[in-house]
Amino acid sequence: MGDRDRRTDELPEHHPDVRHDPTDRAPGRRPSEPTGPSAPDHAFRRWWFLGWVGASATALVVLAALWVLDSDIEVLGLVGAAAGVAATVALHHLVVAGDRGERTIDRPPPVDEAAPFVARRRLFGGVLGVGAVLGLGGIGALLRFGSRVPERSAWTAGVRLSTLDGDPVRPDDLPLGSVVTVWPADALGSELSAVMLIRLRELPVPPTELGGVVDDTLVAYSRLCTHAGCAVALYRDRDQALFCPCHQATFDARRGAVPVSGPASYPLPQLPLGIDDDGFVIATGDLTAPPGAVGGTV
Amino acid sequence: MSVLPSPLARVAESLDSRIGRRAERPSLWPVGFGALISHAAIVAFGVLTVTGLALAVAYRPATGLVTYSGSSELYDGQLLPHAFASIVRISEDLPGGLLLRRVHVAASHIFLLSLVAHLLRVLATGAFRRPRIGTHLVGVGLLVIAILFAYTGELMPFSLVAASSLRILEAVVSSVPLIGEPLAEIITGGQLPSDRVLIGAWALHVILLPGAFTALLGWHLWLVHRRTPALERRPDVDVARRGVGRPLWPDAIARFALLTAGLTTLLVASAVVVPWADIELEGPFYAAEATNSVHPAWVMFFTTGALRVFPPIDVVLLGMRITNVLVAAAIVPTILIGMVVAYPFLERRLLGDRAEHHALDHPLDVPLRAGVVTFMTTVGVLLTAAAGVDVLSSWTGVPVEEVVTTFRITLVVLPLLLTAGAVALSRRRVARFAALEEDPTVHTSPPAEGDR
Amino acid sequence: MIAARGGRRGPRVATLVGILLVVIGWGAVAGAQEPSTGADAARDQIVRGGELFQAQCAACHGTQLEGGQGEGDLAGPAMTDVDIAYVDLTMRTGRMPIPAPEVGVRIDQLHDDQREAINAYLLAVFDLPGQIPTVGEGEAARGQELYIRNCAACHGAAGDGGIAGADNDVPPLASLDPIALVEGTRVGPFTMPAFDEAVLSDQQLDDIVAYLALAEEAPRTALGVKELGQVGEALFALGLALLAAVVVWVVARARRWSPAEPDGFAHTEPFEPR
Repeated sequence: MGDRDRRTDELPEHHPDVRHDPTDRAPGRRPSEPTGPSAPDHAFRRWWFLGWVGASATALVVLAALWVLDSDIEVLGLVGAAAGVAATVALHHLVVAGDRGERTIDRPPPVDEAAPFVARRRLFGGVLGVGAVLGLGGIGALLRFGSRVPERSAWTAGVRLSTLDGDPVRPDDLPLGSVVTVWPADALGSELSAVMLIRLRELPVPPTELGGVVDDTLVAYSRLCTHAGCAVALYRDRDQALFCPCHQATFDARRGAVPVSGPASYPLPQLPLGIDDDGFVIATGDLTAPPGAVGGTV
Repeated sequence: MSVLPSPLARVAESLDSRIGRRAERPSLWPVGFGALISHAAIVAFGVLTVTGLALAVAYRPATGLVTYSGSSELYDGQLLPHAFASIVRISEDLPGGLLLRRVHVAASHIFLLSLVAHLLRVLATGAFRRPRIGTHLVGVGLLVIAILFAYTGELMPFSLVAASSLRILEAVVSSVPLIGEPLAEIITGGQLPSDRVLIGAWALHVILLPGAFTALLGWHLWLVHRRTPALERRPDVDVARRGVGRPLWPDAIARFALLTAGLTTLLVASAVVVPWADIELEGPFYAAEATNSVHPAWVMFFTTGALRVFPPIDVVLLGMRITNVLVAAAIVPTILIGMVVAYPFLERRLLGDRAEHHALDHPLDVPLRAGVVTFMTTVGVLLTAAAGVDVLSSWTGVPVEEVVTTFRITLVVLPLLLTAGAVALSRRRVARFAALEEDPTVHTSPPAEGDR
Repeated sequence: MIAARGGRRGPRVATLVGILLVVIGWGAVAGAQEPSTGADAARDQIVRGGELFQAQCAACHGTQLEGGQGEGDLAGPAMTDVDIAYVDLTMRTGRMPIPAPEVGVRIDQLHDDQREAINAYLLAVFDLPGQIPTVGEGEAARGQELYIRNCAACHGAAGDGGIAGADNDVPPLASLDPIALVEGTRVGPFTMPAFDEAVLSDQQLDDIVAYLALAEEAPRTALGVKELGQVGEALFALGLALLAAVVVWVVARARRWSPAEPDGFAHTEPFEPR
């Protein structure tokens, strides 16, 4: 008690950091107040602690055995949790019985936090300089040698639209209000060439490229969103809209897949379609724009 | 005196005399609730390391298709990406593998949440002021590493969400003017799936990030020790002039062991009842496919939320296109983290306060700080919540477009309102203290209930 | 309003009687040609279906499937060209009939035999196109890839449903019965696009159905939770964080809880280096 009183006396009257909180209802509270009875029952405590340690160790041995025996996760988890609970009780005892209590030290003298860096100015300056040179060089190399060509799909004029199994598609395969994902026959499953072939309910209108529409209502758009490149794989037959499950961009498939709500700014690239002599749907050219998200360089 | 069992007591006594008494300055370990939040992050990091080492043995960072054969009814005999197949094998065939994966993921939640809580406490109480600016900056580095941990960890199973996640990563990198597109090409290798990005994620998650985190954590703790911990004000000790805390041994270590045991128990128990890491029904990576309701790990929700609610406004100038993707997923996170980094310097400049502070403030002690912290927290929480517009829409039955509009309005209005409120509260508090200094007798009568 | 409805009731009853006579006559002819009890049962079913249809459906869809004349829910669409699978799907999933007590429609969910009777009636009398599909054995593993490539974008990888924007809800598929799944895929009800045989073969549909059955039976934990999405996981993570906060609080307050406080240990001794 004497120690604490002495320190309380040390408190300066108007030190900026010792403000009394008027909302503190018990301003005299001492967080480390000694409490409790002072009649330690050593034997009981020791057995209490060792008992829980033993329980925890036993559970851990059982856990190891069950682990080797490849038990279910429920069994392993419950035995593991039991071992943990026993260990927690034992350690709790260690804390309440073994705490030494608080000690105080003087705060260190004021430091200049930048000092180590100032003292090794040349070292850090050198590191910074080398970093800057490397960074600028890297950016320069990227600008000079980096790929400037936007990623292109594998669509070319005359390629048949094929389902993932490689089957070419006829217009009759798509009844009213149906949709199928197709690829060029030579790039099945390729991400950048994935295209949604859609049978619209109504005739498409500009800005759809009407020359690329076959069988009156069959249109095809890239499957990759112009916003962040996700698969715009959700087609709503009721309002003929494509909806992106990642960020909720919505495109009107009847009007050239222009964005109608959500965060996208640009329409989905359209694939111009035709019909070949055997009656299969073919592409008559590449997508109207590179597939995927629109980048930051014009 | 000692009430420890005698063998432990002897070890404790000898270690304490070695570590504490002969050192130039003994370490002080505060053990209050606030201080222990950061200890919880360290405990979780330990659990992550142990489970992660075990999992790394069986994981294969490759996208090539292999035939899985094992006890998974769904995938037996199927061709799967190697990474996904190894995850299925860990979950279904290796003893205790699913438990390890679930505990790993559960620990990652505690890890990230306690880091964020620790950061908020530091910002709100002014623990970042001199002489702890360096400690704060190292701490922000730890948080950034933790976010990278979460993103790469999410990618590693190479499940269906990775297909969207990688495309979005590529879109965000490409949205940087001029250098973005070539940089994205380097990261992903153009066509997806590519081994390059998965090996990169694996190297980061298993080697580079743990190494960097351990090194920075050591630096952080060493700085905490050198500068002595910042402490809450208390009536019996002038914490500005004296540091007060527990010795490392046995108090702090016993408590740390207790916390480790308690939290690990909680994590293991939670893994029994919550299927944290199960991805079998999500399915493996398929290029150009997506599942409804795509979300990243929650710590990335704030970028997802921004991507969802930022309106489609693009500005084109000087051959550069500033897209809403760039703003939402690159500029806004950079600003938020940049504010956390820059705020100590900003406050020092604006308040002209270059003194060292060892005592923690009440969150409302400085109006500027109360305002900035409230603003950042509100924006962060709102953007995080905005990642769930689709889930909110399906719960409430409100069309998602209207939910997005609500978030757009809320994002403009609510942070300003709450900031103004926090500043007003803070000013009132400061004024009350000013009145107190003029007339100290006010202090002696306890405040009325309505004041609290 | 009541007068208007009363005015329509006369002709409707007359039509009903007429249809019943036609049905009974048709049944009698059929029964005469094939004298078997099976035919009798079929005829009974059609008659029962007719009664049910006129009582529960005709108020909105018209006695001759010409569509409802009322307003709101009572303005049901014409059904003359509707695929029987579509009709069956709406009844199977409980979307039809919509209870409308003011016109006597009180049934919310038809029993299987009621539904089959109405189907038989519609096929026999109005000769609706299409047929009720059947479901065979499928392989879940093949079905998963097909499901992800064709269905998951709307219905979610685990079949939990979600949203499709513009106030469209995507229903969860897990609880639907297999026939309803196949019917829905083929006819493309409401907002959903249709999938023809050229896009998804019958065998592929069976595989998808098998996958959904497996997903439905996926193991659940003691809390009744199966695989979580990231949002669900985030919410559980918040719960976990609250529990962790309790643990941290207990650890921070460890000494006060103990009945075995050692005596007088809580003094702060100033440290003096030796």
